[in-house]
Amino acid sequence: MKTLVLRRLAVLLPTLLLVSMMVFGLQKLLPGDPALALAGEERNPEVVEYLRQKYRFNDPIPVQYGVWLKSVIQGDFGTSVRTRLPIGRMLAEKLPVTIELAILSMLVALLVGLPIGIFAALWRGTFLDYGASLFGLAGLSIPHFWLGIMLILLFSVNLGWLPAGGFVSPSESVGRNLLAMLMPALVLGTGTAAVMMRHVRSAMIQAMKQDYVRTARAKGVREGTIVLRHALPNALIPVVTLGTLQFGELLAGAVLTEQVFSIPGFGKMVVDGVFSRDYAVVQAVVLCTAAVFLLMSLIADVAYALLNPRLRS
Amino acid sequence: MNRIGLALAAFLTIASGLASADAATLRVGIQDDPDALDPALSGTYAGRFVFAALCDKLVDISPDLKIVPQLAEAWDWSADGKSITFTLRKNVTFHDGTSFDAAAVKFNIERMKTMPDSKRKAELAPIQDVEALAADKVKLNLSEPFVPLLANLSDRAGMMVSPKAATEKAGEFAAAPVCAGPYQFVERKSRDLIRVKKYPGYWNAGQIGYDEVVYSYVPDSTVRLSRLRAGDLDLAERIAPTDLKTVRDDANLVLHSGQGLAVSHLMFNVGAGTKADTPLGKNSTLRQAFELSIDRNVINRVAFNGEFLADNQMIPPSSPFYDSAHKAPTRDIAKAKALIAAAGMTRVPIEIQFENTAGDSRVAQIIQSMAAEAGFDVKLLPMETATAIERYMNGNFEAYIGNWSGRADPDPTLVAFFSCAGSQNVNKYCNKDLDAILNQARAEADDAKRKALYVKATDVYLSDLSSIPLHHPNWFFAARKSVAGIVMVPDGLLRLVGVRPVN
Amino acid sequence: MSTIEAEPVALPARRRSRSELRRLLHEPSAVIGGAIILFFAVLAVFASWLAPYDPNAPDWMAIRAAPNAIHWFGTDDLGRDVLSRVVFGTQASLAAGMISVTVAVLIGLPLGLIAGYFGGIVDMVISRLADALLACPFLVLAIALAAFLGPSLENAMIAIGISAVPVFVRVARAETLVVRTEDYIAAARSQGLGHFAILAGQVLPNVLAPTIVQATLTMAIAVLAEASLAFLGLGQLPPLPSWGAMLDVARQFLSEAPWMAFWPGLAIIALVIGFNLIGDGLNSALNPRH
Repeated sequence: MKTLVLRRLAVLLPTLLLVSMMVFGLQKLLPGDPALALAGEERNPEVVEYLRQKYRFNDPIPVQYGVWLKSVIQGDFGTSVRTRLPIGRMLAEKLPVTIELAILSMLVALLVGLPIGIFAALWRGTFLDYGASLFGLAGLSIPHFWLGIMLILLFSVNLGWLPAGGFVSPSESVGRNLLAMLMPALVLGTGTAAVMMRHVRSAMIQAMKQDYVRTARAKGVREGTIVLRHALPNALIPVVTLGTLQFGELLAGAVLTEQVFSIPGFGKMVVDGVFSRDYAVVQAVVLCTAAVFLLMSLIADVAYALLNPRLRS
Repeated sequence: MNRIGLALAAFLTIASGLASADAATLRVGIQDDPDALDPALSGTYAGRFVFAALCDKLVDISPDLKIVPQLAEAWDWSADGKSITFTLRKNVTFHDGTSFDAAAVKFNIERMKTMPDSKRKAELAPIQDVEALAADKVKLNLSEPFVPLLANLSDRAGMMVSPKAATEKAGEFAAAPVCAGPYQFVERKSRDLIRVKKYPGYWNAGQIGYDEVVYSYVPDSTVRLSRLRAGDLDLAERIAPTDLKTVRDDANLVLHSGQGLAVSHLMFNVGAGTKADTPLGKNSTLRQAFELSIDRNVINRVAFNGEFLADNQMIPPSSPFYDSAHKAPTRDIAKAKALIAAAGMTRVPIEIQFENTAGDSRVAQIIQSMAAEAGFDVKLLPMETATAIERYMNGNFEAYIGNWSGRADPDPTLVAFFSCAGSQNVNKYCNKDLDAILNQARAEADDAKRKALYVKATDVYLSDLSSIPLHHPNWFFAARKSVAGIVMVPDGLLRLVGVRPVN
Repeated sequence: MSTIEAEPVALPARRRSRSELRRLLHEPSAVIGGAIILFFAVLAVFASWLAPYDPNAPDWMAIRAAPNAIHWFGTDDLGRDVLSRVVFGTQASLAAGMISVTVAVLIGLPLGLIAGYFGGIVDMVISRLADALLACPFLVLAIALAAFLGPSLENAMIAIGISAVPVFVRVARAETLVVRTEDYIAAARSQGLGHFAILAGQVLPNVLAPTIVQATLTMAIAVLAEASLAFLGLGQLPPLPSWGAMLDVARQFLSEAPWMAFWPGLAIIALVIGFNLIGDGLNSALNPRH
C-alpha cells in the first residue's frame, strides 16, 4: 500500500510538469497577440512594444516557460495581465465557489444516483429498472448547457421561482447563495447521478450473485438484511472510487454550466483566460485542476485497494 | 408542485428581506469585468464605468456633448490656440486626504505621458509641457493648436489620481486606486465585484445619494435583467435590445435610454497588404454598390429589434458636428447591379471577418444574405476576439465589421480611421485632401467654421467609402423605480452625482 | 472522459466470430441505438430532399415566428426555418461524432499498442503523456486546440479528436498488456515473426473489440463536445447550421422564442442516446463479463 502511494506520488509531479508544459506550449501557439489585446482600443505601437518586453512575449517559448516555472516554484502564480491582480488571490477567491458547486452536485448525484441504482438492481427487469436505465441514458446524453437553459426557462422565466444565474456569496446571504447554486448543482449533478446510477446498478447485480449472498439466503437470512449487510457494502466499493474521480472532474468540468449560469468559478476563469490570452491565469487554473484530478484518482485507487480485500495482497 | 413553490417563495421573501437591510447601497450589474483600475492603463468600457464613481476628471461632458466643469472650474485658450489655462476647483482632496492642486495636475499629465504602458499617450500627445502657475492655476502648452484636447480630458486622460498613492504604490496602484471622485475604493473580488463607498470629503458630497456602490460582474444580459427584476440588483447597464420589452412591461423597472457615440461599420481593406487585392478593395464604385445592396433599417430591425440608430456616418447624430445633409441611401438592388455591371463584373467575391459575438454574427449574416441579391458572394469568417484583434491590426482581412466606441469630439474618430497615418487606419486608406481638411478642423476654434470643415470631410469619406458605417448603438440601462436621478450621457457612463434612492 | 471506459477484455481473437453479430442483434439497446443512428444518417444524407426549406434562407418578415403550419418548428432570429436547420445540422453533428473519433483512434490505438507491447521506457513516455493529457480538463483542451486551429467544423473535429486520444491509448494499452502474456504471442515470437507482424496480426484483433466499444461511447461525447464548441463560437461557420451554434443563439431569446432552444437540444440528446445505446449494446455483446 505504502509503495503504491509513494509510486503514484512520484509520478504526480512529472505529470503535472508535463501538463503545464503542454498547456503553456499550446497557449503560446495560439494566434492573437496578447500585447495587442492588452493595449486598449487605440493600440499605441509604443505601448504594444513595451508590453511585449514587459511580459517577455518576444522571448523564445522555453525561456518564457522557464521564467513562469521558476516563479511558480517560488509560490508565485504571477499577475493577471488583464486585471493586474495577483493570480494567487484570484484562485483563492474562485476555489471556494467551484468546490461548493462540486460538493452540491455530488450531493445531488448521491441522493439521486444511489437509491435509483440500488432499486433498479434489486427489481431488475421491472418498469422501475427500465425507467432507471432511461434516466441513466438521458443523464449521460443531455448537454449540460441545454439542460441549464431549459431549467432557466422553466424555473426563472416562466415560474419566476429561482434566479436565472449569478453567484451570491454565502457571507452575504446563505439562503440566496443556495438558491443561486440550486440549478447549476442540479444540472451538473444529473450527469454524475447517471454515471453513478449505472455503476451502482451493475455492481449491485454482481454483488447479489456472489456466493456469500447465496449462503446467507440458504441460511434463511432476511432479504433486507442480505442487501444491507452483505451486498450493499460490496457494491459501494466502485462507487467510492467513481465518486472521487467524478469529484475531480466536477472541479474542471463545469465550464459551460458556469457560463450558462454566470457563476464566477474555475471553469469560466479558464475559458475567459484562453480567449483573452491571459496565459498565466490559464496555467494556474489548469495546474490546480490537474493536481486535484490526479490527487483524486490517487485517492480513488487507494480507497479501492483498501476496500477491496482481494487486491490487498 | 404548489407546496414547493410556496416554500421557495417563502424562502425568497426571507432571503430578499435580509438583503434589503442596507438600503443605501446601489447594486449595479455590469456586462464586462473591468481591466486594470488605473486611468492610465484602463482600456475597457467597464473600467470607465467604474471610474465614473472613483475618479473625477478635469472637465466633463454634458448630455448634449458640451464641455462642462468638473475638477477645473474654468479654462481659457490662448489667442494662438497653443496653450490652455485651467482654473482648478479649490478644497478638493483625494481619497487619501492629500489635496488636489496644480502640482497634482502636472504630476498626472506627466505620468500619463511617460508611463511606458500608458494608454493615454495619443490623447495627450499635443501637450508639450505643464506649468503650475499657482495652486489653482495650471497651464498646458501645446505643440500645435488642438481643440479636441478638452474632449480628451473629459475621459480617462483627464482623470486625476493621488500623486502620493501613485508614487508609493507604483505597480500596485491598479489593485486599489486612489482618486478624487465621489466614491472611494473598498475592495475588488476578481471577476465578481468591485465595492466602493461614499467619500465624505468629496467636493460635491451633498449630491451623493448612496453610501455604497457595488458593481457586480454579470456577463449574461438575460441573467443581468433577471437579477434586476428579482431585486438582486438596482441597476443593470447595457440591456440587450431584445430584452427591452421585458423592461418596459415591468412596473418595477424604468428604462433609461440615450443616444451613444459608438459606431459599427464595415471596413474594406483598400491598401493593407495582399488582402487589399479584391475587387471591392480596389474599386470605390463597387463599394458604393455594396452600400446600395444593404438595407440598414432591416439590419437594425432584425438584429437589434429596431432599437439602435441606423445611420451612414462615423459621427453619431447626437454630435453637434453631425452632417444631416448626407442622408443614408435607400436600398436599390437594380442600381447596385448596374454599378457592378459597369465595373465589368457579375459576381463579386468578398470575405467578411468579424468577432464571434452574437450581434456581429447576426449583422454579418444579414449583410451576406442581402448583398447576395445584388451579386456579392460574401464569405463569413468569425474569429474569437484576440485573434480578430490581431488580424485587424495587421490589416489581415478583406472586410471587417468594426466596432468603435466613439469619442465626444469628432476629431479622434475621423483622424484615427481616415487620416493616412491614423491609429485605426488598418485598412490603409489614404486621401491627402481629407488629411488636410481634418488637420484644419482640429485647429479651428470657431464651432461653425469647424462644422463646415467636417461637412467637407464627410463628403470625401462617404464618396471614397473605405468603410461603410452601419449603425450607432444606443445605451439602455434598466433600473428599479427606487433609483432616481439617472441622467444618460452619450458616453454611456453612469454619473453618480445626483443619483439617490427614493421610495 | 474516463468515466465511460470499457473494461479490458482478454479473449483470443479466434474464439470470436459470426456469433458476435447475432448476439449484437439480440441486444435491444444495440438495435434501438442502431435505428436512431440510421434515422439521423438518413436525415444527414438526404437533408436536401427532406428539409422543407433552404436552411440558410432568411425571411426578414418572419423573424422568431412561433411554430405554425408553414414552419413546424418555428423560425429563428433571422427568420430561417428551424426544422430545416435541425435537419441540416445533423450533418455537422454526425460528422463531428465519427470523424473526431476516427482521428482519436488513429492516433491513440497505435500508441497504446506500442506502449503495451514494448513496455519499458516507451511505455513510460507514452503513458505519462496520455496521463498528462487526461489530467487537463477535456473541454479546456478542446477549446484551446480549436482556438489554435481556427474556427471551422473540420478544425473543431480535429481538436476534439486530439483531446480524446488518451482514452484510446489507455484502452489499447491495457488490453495489449493482457494479451502480451498469452501463449500464442510467445509462440508467434518463437516462430520468428517480427514485432510489427505480431502487433498487427495477433494483438490488434484482440484490442479491436474494446476499442470499438470505446469508440461508440466516445462518439456520444464527441457529439456533445462539438455542440459545446459551437456553443462557444468555435465550430461550424455561419450561416451553416450546427445544433450547438443554434443553441448559443437561442439562449438570447429564451423567453420570446423558446422553440429555438428546444428542437436542436432534443436532436442532440437523441443522437447522443443513439450512440450510447449502441455502445452499451456492443459492450454487452463483445464483453462477456457484462
